[in-house]
Amino acid sequence: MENLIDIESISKEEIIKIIDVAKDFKKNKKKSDVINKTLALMFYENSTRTRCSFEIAGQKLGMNIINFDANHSSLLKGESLKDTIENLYFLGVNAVVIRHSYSGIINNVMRLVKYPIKFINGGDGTHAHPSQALLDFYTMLEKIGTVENKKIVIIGDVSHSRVAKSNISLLSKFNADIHLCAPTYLQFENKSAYNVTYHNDIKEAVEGANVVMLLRVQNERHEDSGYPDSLEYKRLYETDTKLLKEYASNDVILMHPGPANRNIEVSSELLDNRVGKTILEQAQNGVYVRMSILNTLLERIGE
Amino acid sequence: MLLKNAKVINPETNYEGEMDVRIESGKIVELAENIIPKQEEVIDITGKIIVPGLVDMHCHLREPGYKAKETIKTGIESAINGGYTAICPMANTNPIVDNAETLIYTINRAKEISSIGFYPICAVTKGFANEKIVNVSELIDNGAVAFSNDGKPIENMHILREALRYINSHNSIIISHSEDSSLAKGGVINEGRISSRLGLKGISDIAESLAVARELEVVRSVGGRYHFAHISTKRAIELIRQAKKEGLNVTAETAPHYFSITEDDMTEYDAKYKVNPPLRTKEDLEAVIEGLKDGTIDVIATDHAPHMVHEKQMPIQNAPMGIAGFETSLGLTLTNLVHSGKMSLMEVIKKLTYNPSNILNLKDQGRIKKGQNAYLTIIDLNEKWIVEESKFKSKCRISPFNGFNLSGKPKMVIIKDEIYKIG
Repeated sequence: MENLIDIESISKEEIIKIIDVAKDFKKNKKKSDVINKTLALMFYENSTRTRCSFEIAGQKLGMNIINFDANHSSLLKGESLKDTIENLYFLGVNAVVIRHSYSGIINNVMRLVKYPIKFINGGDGTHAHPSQALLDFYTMLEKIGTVENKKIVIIGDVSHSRVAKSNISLLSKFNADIHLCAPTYLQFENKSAYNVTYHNDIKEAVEGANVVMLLRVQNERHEDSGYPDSLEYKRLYETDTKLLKEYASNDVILMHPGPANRNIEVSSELLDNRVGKTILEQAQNGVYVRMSILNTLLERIGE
Repeated sequence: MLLKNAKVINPETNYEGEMDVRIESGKIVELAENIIPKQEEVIDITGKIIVPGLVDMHCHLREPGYKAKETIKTGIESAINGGYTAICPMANTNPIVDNAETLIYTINRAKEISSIGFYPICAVTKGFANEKIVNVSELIDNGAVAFSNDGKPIENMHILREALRYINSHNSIIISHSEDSSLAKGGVINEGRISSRLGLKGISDIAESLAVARELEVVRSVGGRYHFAHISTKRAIELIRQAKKEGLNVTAETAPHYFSITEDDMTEYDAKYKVNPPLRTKEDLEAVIEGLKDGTIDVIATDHAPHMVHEKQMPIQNAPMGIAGFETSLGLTLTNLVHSGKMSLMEVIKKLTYNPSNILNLKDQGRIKKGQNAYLTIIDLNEKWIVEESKFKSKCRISPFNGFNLSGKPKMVIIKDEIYKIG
């Protein structure tokens, strides 16, 4: 694996390796191979957990971390992302994590940058969020052992969700039974984009589910869309304890990439009870998975 | 000058055969078999074909206003390098060509550079706004051959109807950029499987077909001639086919990229493929070819839309729309339509020469006739070549077709008594 751009461009074997190395980090059975390598975090879109998670992962690995301040950078003076990244490379940066509101921004800049810096996608527009999908997968494996033939239901703003797309790509590789549930206006414009089962009705979707993954309604990406407001969404799609108890499998696990809109896509009560705790464990696993990603990408650099 | 041993293709008369062509003082003076050379330049073109000079009824030259993208000079050089003897630049420059001064400036600038047929298309409305129709008669008297707000669709149907009536009363024609902007707004690529996967805002096919349907109703109500630019979708082609059957006086064009590449080529977020209308699906591409074959689509035009290389390297969301078309148009057309066996050489040459000339009433263009000014293109039908964007004469040295293997290339352009050899 040379870079981590999206799930489509990495193999099943590479995914399994990342998961295995993350397990070893979690059990404290593995040492860092990337001490003193340098990581730059370039976040052009708001983020709490992904940014902190990469930062802590890098620190645990003994890396140098640069928190690139995108809002006060020379990009505002008109410097292109390519030039910024080439400069960072010559300053000694080995890898960059980029988050940006533009889908495909990393594919674009990778084509232009001429030096061997490593790229990690920290979430680009409505395209991909591969490290999130990997940590979700890790958490599912930890909780239910396998995803093969398990019913995994993703509920919410799938058409604007890079998390959903990366999860669909990853779970498809491992033969999960994937279901998407959303009102028509939050489904993909083109249903043939992915080989999944679509639902408008949440009860039908959750019936027998092993995993229920909720997504945030991304109001910031709905400009001029004409969609109904979030209360209309809440009436039909809010997930609560009762729904899971009545319809989902007994050992269902609840996931959410965060940040959650309480009492919109998920009831506050559910979020704070035992079932909701998986969401915090998800975040914790994220650190080990990102340690694994950084170690895997950078272990051979400079040899 | 005597052109010897060529095969002549003349779509106006459906003639295809061996013929020598004599040109004196820029005019075709003799067309016959085995003309005996006098004291004159003899050009042996054995193995190649002579066709009427290619006519591009849709291009963008960017001058005045955006000379860093292209100038009238580099645009003309690029057109000639692509085999064209006539070009019709669109009005979306800065200032917009909605007034006689700007129109005259462009025509004079072109004259300083070459005798290429230079036939500007002027705006339909002043400033492309939905307010006032341009001074049609004054613009026609100064050289306008058609009217179009290309780049910015006319969405006020009252203005369109009035403009159509008035422009037709002057025997001229409106060229429509058919697009419903409420459906196209902010879009980057075709809306479909690829846009959903890539997370890019799509432009649905009905953004085009809906506008075509609406405009056809306007044409139906007031009559007259009307031309649809750069048609890219199956559904729009079906609508135009039906309208023609019903006797509406409409014509249509497409561009080579719509029968050469599709949205499937866009997986890497590379803005060199970004164009409006966007590259569509394989099904649309096949419908475009079907439309060309059955005559629904009359013309192949380049929609040459140059931009600076660094602009086309920007993130796809920010990069401008447009493909440099002059220098790949003929090669793509011959490769994908003629050598592929889909259409005859005669039919294809007709859509590149006679048909656009006829729609715009261009004097001497698109024809090979004794007594007319000589506008001729000499083509090697079978020459294999590789597109190299770095060698374009256009300033826009970036192309989705870079590296393509093509068959068929323009070798020489004759514009009156000027001979341009093409490498």
